[in-house]
Amino acid sequence: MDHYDNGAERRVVVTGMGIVTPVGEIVSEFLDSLMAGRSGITRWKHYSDRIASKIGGDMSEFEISSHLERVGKNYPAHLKGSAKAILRATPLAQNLAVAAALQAYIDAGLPDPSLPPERFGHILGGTNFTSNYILQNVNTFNEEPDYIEPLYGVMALDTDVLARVCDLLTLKGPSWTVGNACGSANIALITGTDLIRSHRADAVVVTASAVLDRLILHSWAMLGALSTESFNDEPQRASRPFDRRREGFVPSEGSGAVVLETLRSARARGARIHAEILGGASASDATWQIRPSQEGQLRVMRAALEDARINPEQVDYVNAHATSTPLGDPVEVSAIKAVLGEHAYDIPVNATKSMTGHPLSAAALVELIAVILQMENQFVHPTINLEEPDEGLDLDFVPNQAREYKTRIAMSNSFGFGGLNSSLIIQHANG
Amino acid sequence: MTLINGERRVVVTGMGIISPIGETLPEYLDSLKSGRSGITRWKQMDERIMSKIGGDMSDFTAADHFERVGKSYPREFIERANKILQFTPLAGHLAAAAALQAFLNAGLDSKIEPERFGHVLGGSNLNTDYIFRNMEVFAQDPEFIEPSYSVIHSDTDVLSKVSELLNLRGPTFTVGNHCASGNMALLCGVDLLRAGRADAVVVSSTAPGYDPIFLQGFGIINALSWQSFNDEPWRASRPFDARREGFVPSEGAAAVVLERLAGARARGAQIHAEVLGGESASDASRLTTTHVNGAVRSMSGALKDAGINLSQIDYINAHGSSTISGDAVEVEAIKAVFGDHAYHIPINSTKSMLGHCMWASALVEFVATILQMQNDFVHPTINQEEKDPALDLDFVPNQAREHRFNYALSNSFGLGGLNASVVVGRAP
Repeated sequence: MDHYDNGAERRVVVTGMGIVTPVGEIVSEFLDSLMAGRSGITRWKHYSDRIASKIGGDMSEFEISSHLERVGKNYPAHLKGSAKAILRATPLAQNLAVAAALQAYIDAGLPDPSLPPERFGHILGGTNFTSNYILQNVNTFNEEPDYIEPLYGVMALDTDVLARVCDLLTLKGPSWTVGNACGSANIALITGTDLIRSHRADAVVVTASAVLDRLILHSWAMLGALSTESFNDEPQRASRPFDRRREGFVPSEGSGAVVLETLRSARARGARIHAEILGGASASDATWQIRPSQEGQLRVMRAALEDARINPEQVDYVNAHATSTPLGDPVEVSAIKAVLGEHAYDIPVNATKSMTGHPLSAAALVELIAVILQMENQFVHPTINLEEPDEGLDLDFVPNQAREYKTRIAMSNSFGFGGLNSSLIIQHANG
Repeated sequence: MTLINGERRVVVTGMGIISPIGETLPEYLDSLKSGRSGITRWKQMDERIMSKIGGDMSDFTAADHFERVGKSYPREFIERANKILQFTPLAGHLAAAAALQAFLNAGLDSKIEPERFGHVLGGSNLNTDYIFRNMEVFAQDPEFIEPSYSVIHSDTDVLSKVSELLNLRGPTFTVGNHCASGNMALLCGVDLLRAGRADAVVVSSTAPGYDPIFLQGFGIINALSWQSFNDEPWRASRPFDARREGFVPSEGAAAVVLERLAGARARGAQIHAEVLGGESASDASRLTTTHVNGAVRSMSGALKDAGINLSQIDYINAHGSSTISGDAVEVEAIKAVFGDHAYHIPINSTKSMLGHCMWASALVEFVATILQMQNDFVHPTINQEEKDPALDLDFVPNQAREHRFNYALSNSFGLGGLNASVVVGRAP
C-alpha cells in the first residue's frame, strides 16, 4: 500500500511522443508545420455528402501499412508485423491510436527491461471513437442483421481501441479510457500522472484519438457550432481563433500519444527527457449545456498552478483551448487575464487549432506535443488566420508568424462541452 | 508502507441502485435474499436478432421512478432531474436516478463544497440506443435527426447531467474498462480522494440502453445466451453451471458516494463500508477470452493495495458472467490466488439473478456485496442444476444463507483483457 506522492520521488516526465495529424504524421513533420504555420484543413474527402459541414482535418484515408512504409523504416520488424496484424480490418480510430502510441513507444527507446509490462499502464483519452464504423454497420444491419461485420461486438466499443494498443505494446498495468469531451486528453494526462504519483504504475502510455462521421458533423452544423459558411472554398482560412471573422470550430481527425515515467527511471535508463509534467487539474461547471464559464475556467487554471506549485508570474507561455468559436474565445481570454493579471499581456498565447483544426478528444494531447516541441526548439508557433483581432481580444496571440522564444513553464488549456474544464502545467526538460 | 490513517481511508456513505430486480436498496436486498431473477423476453427489441432475452429496463424513466419511490425526496431535486433529463436517452435516466438515490442516502445536506465534490462515471458507449435511432433517421434524411444529437449522443452528456443534477464541480470524467468499468470507476474515485483532489466523489455507472445491433454483435461472436433458454428466460443466466452458454445482457445502474473516513466521521455520516483498495491489470490482449494471469494479478494487486492477507478474505463476489470459458478461467484464477482457502469461503454470482449490466455490473455487485455484509448473509447463485466438474467451489447454490464476513473481494473482468478487483471491509 503506497501513498500518493507528488513530491521529488515521483516527478513525472515525458520520454516519448507520437502524433498523427493532418499537418504531420510524425513528430518532425508536425514540428515543420508548426514552424511554417501550415493549415491541415481541406474539403472533406468522403464525409460531406448531404450534410452542411464541408471542411475539416481529414485523416479518413489513413492506413497503418502505408504509414509504416513511410515513417517506420527503422522500427523493429516484429512491432511493425504485430501492428499490421492487430489492426487488420479495424476501424480508423484503432489505426490512429496505435500509430501514435507506437511512435511514442519507439521514441522513448522502449521496450526497456527496467520498465516491466506489469508496471506499465495505458490511459486512452476520449469517448465514442468508432461512430463512423457504427454508422456503416447500422446501414448494413437495417438491410440484413446477419451481414454486419462479424467482429462488430468487439470492434465497435471504445475499449477495443484501448485493448489493441495494450496488445501491441504489451502494456499489462492499469489500463482504461477516460472521457471528458474535448478535455479528454488533458484528463488522460492527469490520470496518467496520478497513476505514477500513486505508485500504481512506473510508466504510462497516454493516447488519444479522434475520428468523425457524417452524422456527428451534421448535428454540430445544425447546432451552429461549426464553421460552415464563409470559408468552404478556402478551407485553410476557416480555423481562425481570436479573429473577428471566426465563425465556429473546424473539426479534425488525428491522434497523439506520449510515454510518461518517473524522472528517476528516465535518468536511470538514460532516456531522453522531452519535458516534465508539473501538474494539472480538472473541474466541472455542473452543467450539461454548451456554455463556457469564465469562473469555471479560471478555477481550473488556478487549481492546476496550485497542483504544480507554480505562481502565475512563472508561466511564460499559454497554449489556449481557442477553438475559433465566437463565444468560446473571448471567455477564455477573460479567464486567462483573471488568472495571470497584467502578466497575461507579457507572454505569448497561441492556438494550435488555427492550423490543426479541432481534434476534439485528442486536442489536448496534440497540443501538449506542440507545447513540448516549441519548448525544445525555442520558438512559439503562430496563430494563423489572425487578420483582424476581435475587439477586447488583445493578448499576444503570435499572429501569423512563428518567432523565437524560450519557454520554461507552459500552461495548456482544454475546455469541453458540458462544462468540463482542465488545465496542465509543463516544464522544460532542463527545469 | 502500511501506514493507515483517517486521511487515507475511504468509506462508502451513500448507495443507490436501479435494476430489473429492484429500484431501491430495500427492493434489491429482498431480491438478493430470495434469489429472484430479473430476466425476461425483450419488451420492444427488433425480432430479427439472435438475442431474445435480458434484463429489460427500456421503459424506465426517472419521472416514473420518482413517482414510485421518491415520495420523500426533496422536491427541488425531482424538478431539476425531470428538467435536465428531458430528451435524454435511457442511460442518463438510469445513472441520474441511481446517483440521486446515493446522494440522498448519504444525507449530505450541503456540508461538502461543490468544488471539492467529484464525479466518476463508469462506462463507455452508453447511448447506443439513441445513436442507433438517429443513424436510422439520418439514412433517410439528415435534416430529421434530433436537434441536440451532437450534445446528447456522447458518453459525457450522461456525466454532465448527473454533475448538474447534484451540483458536482470537482474533477469529473468517465472511465471505460469494458465490463470492469464500474470497478475502475470506484478505483478512480478512491484515488481522487487519496490524492486529495476531492473531498467526496459520486461514483456512478450505467449499462447502455441496448439497441439491436449492439446485441447482435455479441450474438454473432457467441458471447451471449441465445439458444436454450428463450422460453424460460429466468434460467438463462447460470454462472458455473454445466449448461451455461453465455452472458445475459441487462440494463441497470448503480452509484455510491465515497468520502475519506475522517471527513465522514466529522460530519457524522452513516458509513456503509470501507473500500480498502483495488487494482486494475490488463492482459495486453485484444481478444475476447479472459486470461488467468491478468485475473490473478488483479486480485493479488487489490489485496496488496488493501494491505490485507488472502486468508482474511471471507467472501468473493465473482465476475461469474455465465460464459463457458470466462467462469472456468475465473475459478482457476481464484484457486491460483487463494489456494486451499478458496474452498472454505462462499463465492457467488449476482449476475445469476440480475444478468450482466455490462459497464455497470461491477458497481451493481459492489452494492450487493455491501448489502450482504450489512445483513450478515450471502445471496444464492441461482440456476445451479448440474455441476460442472472443474468448478467445485462453494457457489452458494440456489439458496441464500447466513454468513457473517469482514473482508470481501469483488471481481470484474472485461473483454479485451481488462481486469479490476476491489476489496471491501466492514464499516470501521
